[in-house]
Amino acid sequence: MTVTRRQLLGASGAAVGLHVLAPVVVRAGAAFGQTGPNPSTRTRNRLVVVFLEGGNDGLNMVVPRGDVRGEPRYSVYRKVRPAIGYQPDELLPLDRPADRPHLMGLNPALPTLHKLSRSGRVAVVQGVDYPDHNYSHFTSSDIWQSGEPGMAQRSGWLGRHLDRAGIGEGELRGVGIGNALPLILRGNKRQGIGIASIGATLFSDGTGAAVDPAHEAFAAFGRHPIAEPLRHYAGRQAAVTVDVVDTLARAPRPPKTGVRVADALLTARVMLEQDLGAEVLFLATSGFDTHSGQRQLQERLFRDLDAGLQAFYDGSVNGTPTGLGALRAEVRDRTIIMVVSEFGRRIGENGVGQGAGTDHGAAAPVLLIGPAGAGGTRHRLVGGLHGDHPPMGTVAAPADNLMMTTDLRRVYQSVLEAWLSSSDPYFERRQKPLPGLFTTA
Amino acid sequence: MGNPTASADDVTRLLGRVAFGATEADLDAWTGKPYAALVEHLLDVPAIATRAPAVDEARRLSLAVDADGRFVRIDDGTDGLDGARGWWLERMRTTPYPLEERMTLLWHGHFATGPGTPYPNQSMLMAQNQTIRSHALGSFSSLVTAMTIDPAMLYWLNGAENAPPEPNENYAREFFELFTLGKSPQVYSETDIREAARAFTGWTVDFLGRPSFKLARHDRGRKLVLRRDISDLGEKEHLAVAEVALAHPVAARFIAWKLVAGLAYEPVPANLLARPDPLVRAVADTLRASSWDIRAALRRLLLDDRFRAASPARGQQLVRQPVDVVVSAAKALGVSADGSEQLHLLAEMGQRLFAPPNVGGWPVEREWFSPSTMIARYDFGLALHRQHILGSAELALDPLPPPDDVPAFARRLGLARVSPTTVAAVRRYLDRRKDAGVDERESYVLALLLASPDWMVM
Repeated sequence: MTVTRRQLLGASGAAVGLHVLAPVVVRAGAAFGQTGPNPSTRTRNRLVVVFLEGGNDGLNMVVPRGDVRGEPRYSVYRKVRPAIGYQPDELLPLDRPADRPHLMGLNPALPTLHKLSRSGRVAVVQGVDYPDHNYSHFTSSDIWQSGEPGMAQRSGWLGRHLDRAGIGEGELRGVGIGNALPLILRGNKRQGIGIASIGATLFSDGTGAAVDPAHEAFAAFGRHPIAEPLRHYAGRQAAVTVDVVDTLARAPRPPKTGVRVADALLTARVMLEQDLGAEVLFLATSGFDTHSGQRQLQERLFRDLDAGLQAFYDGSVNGTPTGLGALRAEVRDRTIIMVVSEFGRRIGENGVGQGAGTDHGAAAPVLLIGPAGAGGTRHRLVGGLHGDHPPMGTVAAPADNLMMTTDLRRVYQSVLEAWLSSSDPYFERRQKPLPGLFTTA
Repeated sequence: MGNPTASADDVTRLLGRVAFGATEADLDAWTGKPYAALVEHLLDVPAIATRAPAVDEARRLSLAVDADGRFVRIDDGTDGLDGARGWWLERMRTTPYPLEERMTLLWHGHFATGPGTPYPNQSMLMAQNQTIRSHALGSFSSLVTAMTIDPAMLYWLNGAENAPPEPNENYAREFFELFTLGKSPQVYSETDIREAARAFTGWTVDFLGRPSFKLARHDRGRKLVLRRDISDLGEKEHLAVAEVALAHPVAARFIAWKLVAGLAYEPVPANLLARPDPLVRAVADTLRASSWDIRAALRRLLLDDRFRAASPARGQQLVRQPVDVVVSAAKALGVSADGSEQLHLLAEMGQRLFAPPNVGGWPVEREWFSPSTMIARYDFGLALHRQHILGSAELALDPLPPPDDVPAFARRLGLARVSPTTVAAVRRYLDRRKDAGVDERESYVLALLLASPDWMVM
């Protein structure tokens, strides 16, 4: 375990008064050449949440290929989606033995995801939503990030996890990749750290003795009195920033891929491989509000997402190596990627031909991508389809929306309990974990 | 009302919140003068149509149409908009009517649109910007109806594709949620959204980029919006929807909330009908009494003691958004606001004009702060100092105060006062870099002050 420069300076008395700042403990990995990785970090499971911003059309991500046991899914799908619907033979079948009878397939623009699913690494929880669905981007996104349909608490479900873990200010245990820190990582007392990228987490005047006094003066704004809470917060952010710049100064910069979501996933990957203490990470990728031109647009977004998954696991983008190689096994075996969106979309399309799209809808599948084997973990993610597919009505009377079959809080509580060895009292009181999503080794 | 005389703090805070910051000359000119006179000075903006063309009019037009009078397309993604961004930033810096630009910026976030492929193109974004400006201090009701059929908006929220038999709800939903009524409390239903979407059908954009109503694309069936029948009005149905929405008591509260959150502080979240923030309630009452006159609402806001003396101890302060950071600092120093380095850092701080992050517009308050954006705020002062050095001779800029005189330096940036913690931090830097050259010391005092809690939060 190492300490930051600020603590060292505080201890030696070189930085006047800086010891009043909250102690910040950062676990540095072998890359820093100072100490070995902290075992408590290396044995921790990690979670990367990928948020598809705008309301991803889940029905064209995990798609019916046929009618099942008297449920006319595919017939309804074809009828209400003449322009944006897929033919069964265009889809990548979910054909592991347990999934085969359900006749579902993945969007053709997701080949890496399909490959992962064939080795049992992808769990698809169908029909996930919350009671009293809200069709607003903002409200629904807040609900998915807080895990709380009533929005009585203004905190994120992973932020509350950070609260319970009691992390220090500036600790990189919860990381939001992007310019602003998302709600999901804001707890009631603690919060994660938002960074746009590792490469950009550097002051333009660099590092060294000549600029240290300026950076330390910037950090000293953290002493602004709490009597002015907003200015105090701004000052604390300055202090945290100087810490984070210090911590990331020697971390390798992931290569630029030209695909934004792949860059973000590679940033997540480097944060995990460098063992900087990152446990819960979040990144958002936008453009999924496909009111028009949906088929072409969503396929492009899926290709990018798929390239991101390929970059994360294999170190290549669309077959071109980035130089990173495959994700280190000990990280792969301890990391789950969870793909969610603020809502799915309406069953029926509007508009015609190439221009056709869909309006805001309700339930949609949640994807969890995890390790194939047990790895070093006690619980293992179970690949394949989970939960029930929402009813789609009949050909004569198609449903308008996909209604919830699984409450999102059950998925979150399952992940907390089985994967993060944690439990949210709020979820606990209301929802049981989803049976069968994880098995105990 | 409190003391009729404006203190130096009043000038710093008022201009910092609504007029892209104070300059040293503003502090000299207005300290000790009547506070109300400064407010009236800010509000005294003649209608655009009655003014001589602004000095930047040719630059504006060149961004709106190309040499052949045709649309300007955006060929290289959002980066293609830097010309338009630079033009607007310079306009904000140099305008004699800063409140008009400040309100144009506020409504730009409220009625957010962004570039699309192929539409909205740059011409449409520029046209929407000018439409907003012409209503910025006028009637909110005219502004909202102009936005409903604005070409950039018709493309951005799919109004141009909204036609029977399956109307596109995108615009109708945001019309209620983001533009007129909000969701605290939510007073409209999913049915109201669907019915309003039907009323909005028929509007498209013609080949000259103007809104155009096509009866053949309009849903002529019966519609009920918020329990009012608005059928058979054809191209006037969007006006009727706006009228019905704005007649709801929550509408004025919602727009007043936007004004308070955008210009003063973010009120504690509350049901706007049951427990509105008192300042929000006062501004809303004026909006209703004046039939949606934005200027009257602003006068009410700016003269209210709850604005003038909003309590920092209760967090009633305003975070300077990145555009405000760049424009205010450039204005205080007398350098231009449209350099490529500024545009780059503005994006790093999280604000690219003409391309808000989503339909909800820009972040608010604390959301502006994260390590990445704080780094950009710090770097900005260093970049600005380089620009000041380069421009000093050419523009005959006033020299900066000696770096050791921190309060004088802060005053040069429009801050009447600096907190002891900020002064101590900057002095500590100066002590440790005693032997550094004056340029270096100057650049760091500038960078630190511009990234200090005092300057970032008004």
